Amino acid sequence: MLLSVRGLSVEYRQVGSANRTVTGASLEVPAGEVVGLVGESGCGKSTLALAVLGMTRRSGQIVGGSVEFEGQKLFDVSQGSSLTEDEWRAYRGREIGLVVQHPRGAFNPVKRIGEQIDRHYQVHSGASSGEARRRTLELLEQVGINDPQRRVNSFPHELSGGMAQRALIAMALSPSPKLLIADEATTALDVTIQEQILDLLDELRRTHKLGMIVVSHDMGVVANYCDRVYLMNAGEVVEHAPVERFFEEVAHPAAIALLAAQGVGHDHRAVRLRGLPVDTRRVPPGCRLHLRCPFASSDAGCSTVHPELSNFHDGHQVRCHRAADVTALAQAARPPAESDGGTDV
Amino acid sequence: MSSGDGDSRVAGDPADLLLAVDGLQKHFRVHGSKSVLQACNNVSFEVRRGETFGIVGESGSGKSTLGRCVLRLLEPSGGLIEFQGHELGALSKRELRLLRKDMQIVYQEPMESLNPLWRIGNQITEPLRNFTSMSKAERHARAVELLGFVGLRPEVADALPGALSTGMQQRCSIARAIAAEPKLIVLDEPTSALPPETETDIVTLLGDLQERLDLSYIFISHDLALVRRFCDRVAVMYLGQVVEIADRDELFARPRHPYTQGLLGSTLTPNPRARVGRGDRRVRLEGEIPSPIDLPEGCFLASRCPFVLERCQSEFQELRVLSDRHQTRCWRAAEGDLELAPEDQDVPASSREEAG
Amino acid sequence: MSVEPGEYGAVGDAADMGGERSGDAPLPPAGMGAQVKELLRRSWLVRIGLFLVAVAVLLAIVGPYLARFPLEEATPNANLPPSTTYWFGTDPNGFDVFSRVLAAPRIDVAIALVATAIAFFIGSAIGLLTGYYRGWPGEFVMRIADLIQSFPLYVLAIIIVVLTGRNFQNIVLVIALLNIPIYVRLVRSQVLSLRERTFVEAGKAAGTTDLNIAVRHVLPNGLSPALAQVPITIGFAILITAGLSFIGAGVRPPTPEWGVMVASGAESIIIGEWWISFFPGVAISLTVFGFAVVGEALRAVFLREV
Repeated sequence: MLLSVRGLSVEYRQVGSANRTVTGASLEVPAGEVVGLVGESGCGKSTLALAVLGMTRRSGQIVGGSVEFEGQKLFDVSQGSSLTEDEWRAYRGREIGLVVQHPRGAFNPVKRIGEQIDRHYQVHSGASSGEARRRTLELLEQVGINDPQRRVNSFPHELSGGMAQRALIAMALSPSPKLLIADEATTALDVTIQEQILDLLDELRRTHKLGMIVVSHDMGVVANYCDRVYLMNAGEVVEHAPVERFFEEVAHPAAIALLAAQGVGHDHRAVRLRGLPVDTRRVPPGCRLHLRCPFASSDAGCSTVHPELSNFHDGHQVRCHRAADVTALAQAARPPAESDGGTDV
Repeated sequence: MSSGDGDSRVAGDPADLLLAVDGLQKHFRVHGSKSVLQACNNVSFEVRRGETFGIVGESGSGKSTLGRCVLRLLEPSGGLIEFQGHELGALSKRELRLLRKDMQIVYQEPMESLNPLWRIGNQITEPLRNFTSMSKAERHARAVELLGFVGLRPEVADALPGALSTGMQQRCSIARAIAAEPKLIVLDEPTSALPPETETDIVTLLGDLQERLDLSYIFISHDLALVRRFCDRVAVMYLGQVVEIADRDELFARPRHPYTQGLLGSTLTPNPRARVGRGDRRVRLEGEIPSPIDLPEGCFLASRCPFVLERCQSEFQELRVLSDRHQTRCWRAAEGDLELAPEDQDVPASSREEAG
Repeated sequence: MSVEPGEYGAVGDAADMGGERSGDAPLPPAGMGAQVKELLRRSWLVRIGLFLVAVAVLLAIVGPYLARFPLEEATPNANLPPSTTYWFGTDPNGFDVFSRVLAAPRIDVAIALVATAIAFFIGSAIGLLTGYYRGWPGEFVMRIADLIQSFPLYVLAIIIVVLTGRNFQNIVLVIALLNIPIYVRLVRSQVLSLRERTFVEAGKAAGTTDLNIAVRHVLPNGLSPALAQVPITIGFAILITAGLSFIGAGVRPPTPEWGVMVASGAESIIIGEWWISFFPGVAISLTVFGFAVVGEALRAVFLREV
């Protein structure tokens, strides 16, 4: 196994309260496989992806769980062990690449793009500057940047958003990482460019056994490039399955709603989740989602017993008391009749 | 002036015609230099009453500029725009302002398009203040009604935009656009700044409103899947030109221009079974959209087109009529040289079913 | 056990207004009331500043009625030190310093308030129009503003007041004129960026006239920096008024005015009669300080998000 994440929890400390945005999340990435991490905005998927590298944003803190990369423990909160900052350096960037959604913040605004990518490669590979530049040019070309010879001399602000995003992907790929974490990395790109990049990553997956965690809200990307899908909701992993099963035999109400919203499966008005995303500072007892779920039932214990992630099928786990019935219920669901001028909450 | 772009008129009852754009040009002077950025090049199309006309293209294709020029929110550099029989360029400032009652716009960024200091109620009835003699109380009552139309509660009228989610803000923008009962609304990427979960809600809402209020839409988007769900006819833009224009079903079933084919092929359908064989599609667009400052002489797509011939490099491409429902800006496609049956070019399985 | 919706935020505030479930949290309301509360919460220094401002404005209204002795009637009791009768002592004319310190804001604060108001309104209007309707008139106005601002202020003020006559109106107009360019610049720079915002175009699309867009959409959104400047200008105007009067180019003695009063005691300081200048001097300092603190606080609140 390339990457194993066990029971990872991340908390944001605020005055007087703690907001646990990721709770006990586990996932595995085999070498040469692409894992899609999906869920509605604010479900904790980006936080989880970042936490794999032992990192959090702002006031966040990893409060539980462990991450193992190629058999080597990167950290284990229960044992209080973690790599030192020096040891981390061998993983962050070199073994595990990261591409975030907003590329401008990732580049130093006063240095040329080429220098920055060269430097990233040199630091992680010890190559000479000539080698580094060759590698940079080759990668910029691969991510579809026209005229890389000229572009290496550009400053970050001279590139369009899409171009900066591609340069960032080139930089992340330059030290040939074994795992790439791509957080909405292609969301802002035009479809023709997105395809070029995803195909390049797909090729690296096949030829170099590159493993990937792809955080995306685009079910098209997930369907076409991922091998396995993890769905998060309210900070928990609530379903994971091989990609074909996810799109055809999905069982969790949140997954059904997510797919329906993008035109897959059921009428989105019939299966939608009600209200706002669950506030992870105040999670209700029972299933976190039961107040929003169209299929929740007190008989099944949705409002009292917190469901565990359990086997639904071979290699397909679901965290739902009604997993067995949900498909049938969704099938039967009809969109609510719309009252004249009424609200559609 | 008339465009040299062939006859873009589409057959149909002339009384159905709401908007006719003929040879529209928009050039920007590049700041601090002599060069000119050609955002729109000789664009011609028509919108009929009650239809949704899609304009699709990648970033930098000039589609948003086109949407603003059509309403004369930006001053076009050339061309004719005829809306309900009025030539917009010939109208006085006042006449144009009053005609805005019938043509409205919804922007991409809802937060940006609402004044942060105005309460929603006043904001969505701004057109009524300008176009009607309604009293303040009447406007308030209408605001509540409009909020109902877009699925929001009356209390929202007293809120400031900052207190609302982006999805709710966009509903308010839509309420403002329909307030004065317009005939035409330009929808400029109305869902692309919203959380993905709300996209379907907004599109559904727009569809409902269209039926209820007898609206015509110009729907500008980069998202082919969305355009396919929502539009009746579609123009594909590339580098400020319309490269293909056709009925929706025709366009998606038989795309003729290599750019349309490439765009369609790159669109990922949410179906894992469609990935098989995606890799060996015929049309793949490599590289990126060239700069609109320095346009090529021949076909604008020549640098990216897999079918490029010598003639493409030198000969400017006109929009050619294939049928009364289909025009394309490619000589090879027009001469049947690029006959691509849908089977050959691997339309993802799910899309083929829908189109069939 | 049943759980009431709402208790756990699943159906929360924004959802109560209708609309779809939204991924992004609503922002806190940014009303004027909240901003003022925020201002008061900031620190005790701001509260002191607000108190000083309130006292100054109050005295401008009722100050003269609080006089314990006639304000402009010379008495033989000249140059007496502070005592239980004359709390702040008396000056060379035998005026009661305490009464006159309290009465002076009627002149000083009034001049400052009127002059600032004029500068604010005229400057903002010019800034709005030249920013919104660009072109040569705007450029012309900006060059005039440059010209005014390139002169040393005091010198300019003295020249104009001496040439036009030392009365209330002229002092007000001079101070206003000196400050107009500041407001033109502050508002214009805001307007130049605001006019490119989408909601301005949305106003145009809604059929609003250009002038209405400028006044109703653009101006309210561009006024924060100018508003934050107001207390600072007031403090500065008080200083200029007092300064002009001190050198004899402003208000004529024996009108009760802080600058005049400081001047009347200036020569006596050497012989130990400190109270004549000291109390009006302190009054100037505290008032200017108060306005400055309030101005800084306003700046912090208004401009935080800009």
